[in-house]
Amino acid sequence: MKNQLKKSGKFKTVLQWLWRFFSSVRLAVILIIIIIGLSLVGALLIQVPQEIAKDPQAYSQWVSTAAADKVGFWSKLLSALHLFDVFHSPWFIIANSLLMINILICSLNRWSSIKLSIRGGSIRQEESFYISGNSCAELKDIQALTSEVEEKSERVLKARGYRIRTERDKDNIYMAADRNRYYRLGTYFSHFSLILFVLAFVAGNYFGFRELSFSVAEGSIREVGHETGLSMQLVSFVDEYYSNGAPKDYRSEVILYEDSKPVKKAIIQVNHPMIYKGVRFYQSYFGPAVKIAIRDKTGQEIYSDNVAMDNSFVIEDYRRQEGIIDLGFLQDISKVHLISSAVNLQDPIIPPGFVAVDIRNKSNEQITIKLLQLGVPRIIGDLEFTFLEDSKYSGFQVSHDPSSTIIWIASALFIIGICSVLYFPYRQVWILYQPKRQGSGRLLLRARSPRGFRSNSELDVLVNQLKKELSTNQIKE
Amino acid sequence: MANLESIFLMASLAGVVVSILFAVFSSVSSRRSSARFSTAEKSGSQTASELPKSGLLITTKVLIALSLLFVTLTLVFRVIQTGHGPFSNMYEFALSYVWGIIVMVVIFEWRYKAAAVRNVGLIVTLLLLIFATVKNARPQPLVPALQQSTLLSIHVASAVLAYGIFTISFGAAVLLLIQNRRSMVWLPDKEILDVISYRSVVIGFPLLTLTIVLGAVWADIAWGRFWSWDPKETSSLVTWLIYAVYIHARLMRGWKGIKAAIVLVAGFVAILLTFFGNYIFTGLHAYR
Repeated sequence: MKNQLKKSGKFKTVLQWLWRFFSSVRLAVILIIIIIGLSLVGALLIQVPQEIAKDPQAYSQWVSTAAADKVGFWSKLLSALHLFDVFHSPWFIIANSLLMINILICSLNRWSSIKLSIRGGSIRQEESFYISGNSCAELKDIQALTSEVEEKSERVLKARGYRIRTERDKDNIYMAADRNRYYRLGTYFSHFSLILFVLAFVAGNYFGFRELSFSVAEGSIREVGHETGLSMQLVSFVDEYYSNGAPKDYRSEVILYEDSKPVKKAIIQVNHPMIYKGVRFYQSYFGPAVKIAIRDKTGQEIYSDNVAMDNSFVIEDYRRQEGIIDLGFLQDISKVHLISSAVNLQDPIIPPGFVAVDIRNKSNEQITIKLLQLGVPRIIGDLEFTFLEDSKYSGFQVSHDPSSTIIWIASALFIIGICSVLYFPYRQVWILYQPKRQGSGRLLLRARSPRGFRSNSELDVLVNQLKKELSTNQIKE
Repeated sequence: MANLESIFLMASLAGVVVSILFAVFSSVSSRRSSARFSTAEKSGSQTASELPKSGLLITTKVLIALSLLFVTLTLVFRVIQTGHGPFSNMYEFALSYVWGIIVMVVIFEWRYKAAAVRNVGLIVTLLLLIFATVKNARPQPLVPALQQSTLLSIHVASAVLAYGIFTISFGAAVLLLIQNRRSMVWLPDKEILDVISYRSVVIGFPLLTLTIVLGAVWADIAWGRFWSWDPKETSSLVTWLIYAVYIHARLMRGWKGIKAAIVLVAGFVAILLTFFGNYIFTGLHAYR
């Protein structure tokens, strides 16, 4: 029993310690500095592309080639420290998570003070309170009735948007006034939306999907996958250029099918994505395609479609495009690779007007490779191939991010929160009026503003207006 | 239009150079009169800002206003000529940044009358204008991704205004550091410099936030992702974090004076890194 108590006591101390640890603004500053440092590394040091980072083998090759090119023999060390993928490194994730906890605890910690502001603290203070500190003022020898002083002070404060609470005892009048109390909640808007950003970002990566290269050749249909039941048909593709060869515009006319029924027709352009049930299609890239027909031994057509030549590779300076036909339904063939004539140089191996047909078996080994001329059928292996025509393909980025709306809302809250904290400071004023004899007395004022805001200028304005209203003889600050 | 643009570019350059000359003259003369003033009145804390207006000071103000007019016209003719906002290369962006600084110089001069802070702003302006003149590039057609003009224009406009105003806080911070080493009677006093630096951050920080948020929203529309850790994005985030540290340190822990000024100088270095970063790193913002 005693032991248990001791244990729970210890647990409580640890909890208290943790709470104190995370409620410090100093910790926030240190964490932010660490994040700044890591971010600078991420901005200045070469970072691994995400497609490569996912594949350990490709990654280690990247480190010894591309990275080593830039940083020399440091590449191994930097890689061990995860500095080539800083923004997904444990350091970055830990620092950010700690910062999020820090923000959360700091915000919660301020709740009692904010709640007090909203409800309003005590009205009556000791007399010494009104004359200590540097934002105090005194109006002496006020020649007015007590009720008049109360009414006029109220009017001045009200005109400047203060909420006023008054208490009286048999001698004095006490007033506590404040304004912008609800804007103090702005700190929750900005800080919680910051947490919301991070959560939405993580949730988006977890629940959504992102297909960076979704190419569809003209005329053909391709399934989107990811359990969407969607497929897209590219009806036509148009590209336009400036006179200097820079791309001016490119657009795709598409039809979207859901469970094989057409549901949407659209033209997709850069900056003008097509959106259907939260799935977004962005125009991303484009290139050549070839129309191929394949017949089997019996002369029956087993394939006829446009093939997007969307993979580009370079061998000995010759840049060629490659496209893949999936013939997995056949007995001994898996895929057929089509390779174009070089696009940058005169190609001595695959002349223009030809494609190379590279047939692979089930274990992806090459069975045979032959040239195929445009318009001339040729039997390769057991199949007859025909290169019917040149066409184009269009490449899209397809993404579904369920957290997108949250991020938009968080963005708005974020800015509202920042502005309300910076532009609507919580100001407080306390007034004590001490009547001396009938029709005269002195008025003591004390103002308070958040740190960083000058309370004296606000005090000056109030004192001036009160002076005007009460027309006193002598003012001492 | 191209002709008018380069004429006004030269006029802007000349305007800023002459403004600086006059600003220095008026500072020197006010320094002398303030020395006289303080010996006569025995009031060492008298600041230059409270001195009677001299003809030199008025001339300086007129010259600065003229420079602003010239830079604005340069930008206007550029926009008419290209048909899009001035943000497609470093020349256009540097000009916009110059415009942002001069606008803020005029506003803060009017509001706080701190000539010395304005002079730092003018020197940064001159350096940027020289950079812009050297970089002066023929307009290139916009690639499709940059054709979404409205959002991009607001994104860039708030960026240059934020940069402009942070240049003012940098100016105030640098002068504060100088004042701290050796108190100089002709510089504004530390209290005023501190207020200027804080007020400028208070205006600049929401603008920078807006810049980043609009950039993210635009990236979502154009590329389908809010954030891709592109180096320019990252370094603007770093800038934002530095000013966030400043605001928290000041509001929560009451940082003032040197410590706060050092953070502001770091913030300005981050802005320069973001601005000139295009030359250091590649990525989505890799226009030159």
